[in-house]
Amino acid sequence: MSEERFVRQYALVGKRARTSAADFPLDTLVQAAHKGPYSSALRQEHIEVLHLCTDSPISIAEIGAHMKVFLGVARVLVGDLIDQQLLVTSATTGDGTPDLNSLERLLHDLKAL
Amino acid sequence: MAPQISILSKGFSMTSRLSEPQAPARAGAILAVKPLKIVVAGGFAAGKTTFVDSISEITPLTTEAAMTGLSVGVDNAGDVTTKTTTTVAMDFGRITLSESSMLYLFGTPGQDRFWFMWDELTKGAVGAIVLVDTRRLDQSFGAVDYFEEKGVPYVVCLNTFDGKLAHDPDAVRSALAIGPDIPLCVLDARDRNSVKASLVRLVEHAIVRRRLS
Repeated sequence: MSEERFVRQYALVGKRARTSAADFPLDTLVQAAHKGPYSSALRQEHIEVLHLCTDSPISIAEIGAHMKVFLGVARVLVGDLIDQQLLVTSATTGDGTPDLNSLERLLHDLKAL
Repeated sequence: MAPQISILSKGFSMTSRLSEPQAPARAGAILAVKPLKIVVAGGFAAGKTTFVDSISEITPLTTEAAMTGLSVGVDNAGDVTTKTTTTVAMDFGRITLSESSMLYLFGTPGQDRFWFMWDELTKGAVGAIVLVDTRRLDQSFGAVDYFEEKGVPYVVCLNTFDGKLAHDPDAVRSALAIGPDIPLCVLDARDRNSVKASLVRLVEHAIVRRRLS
């Protein structure tokens, strides 16, 4: 990969990456806690994340894809905003297969598509 | 000799942190909507992105992860290390099922050396679709072995290219050494109904598996 691209993204998340507990699974959904206006102290990248999920929740994977940053960078940005209570998250997919109730509802929903 | 690459999970390295428990959602409020995911695996050009595109409500997106490792030269004193970075790309799509659930379909990265990413993708997944191009059966072994070993519910789907299969389903079942309990279906990845039927089949299979466990 391009070294510059890596370095540029590293600069984006800086030192926080080392301490941020940004271990959310890539399918975790997030939504902006309010529609703004946001503090002018926020970085442009953070504002961009908030704008992506103002109206409806989206996954961390989508944030990474839309912003063209690595998943790890998207996680750090999301982590920053959660720490500032600017983002609300969904429950995450657990470690194992979803429970029977969820599976049966999914089956019903899929058939109805 | 090839440099040895080790996956580091410290700090910025954007690896999936395999051994660590998932972070609980923090900071109070939790959204009413929950994600669900299904993994779409298969060899190169088996039709994974076509499959996702046929049913996704968004044009498939690509997300990238970077794996940082250290290459250690074996013929030096061991004190010279070089940082290396490999990126892995995954295509995915989304289906809003209801106000309370969103289904994500994640295509797996093709190359076997990206198994670390498969672990993150399959964690908590409903199950997996193994898309098979019957002209390249050998490309499906890795995925079948992986899901068997991890106990992930999966169905094998033979993607018809130009309406043709190079081998009939029974021959494929035997060639891939798939047990009789694993559903096998024939589909056209370009066709929404065909894709939908395979997802329904997978969820039915996951339900049976869940009841048995």
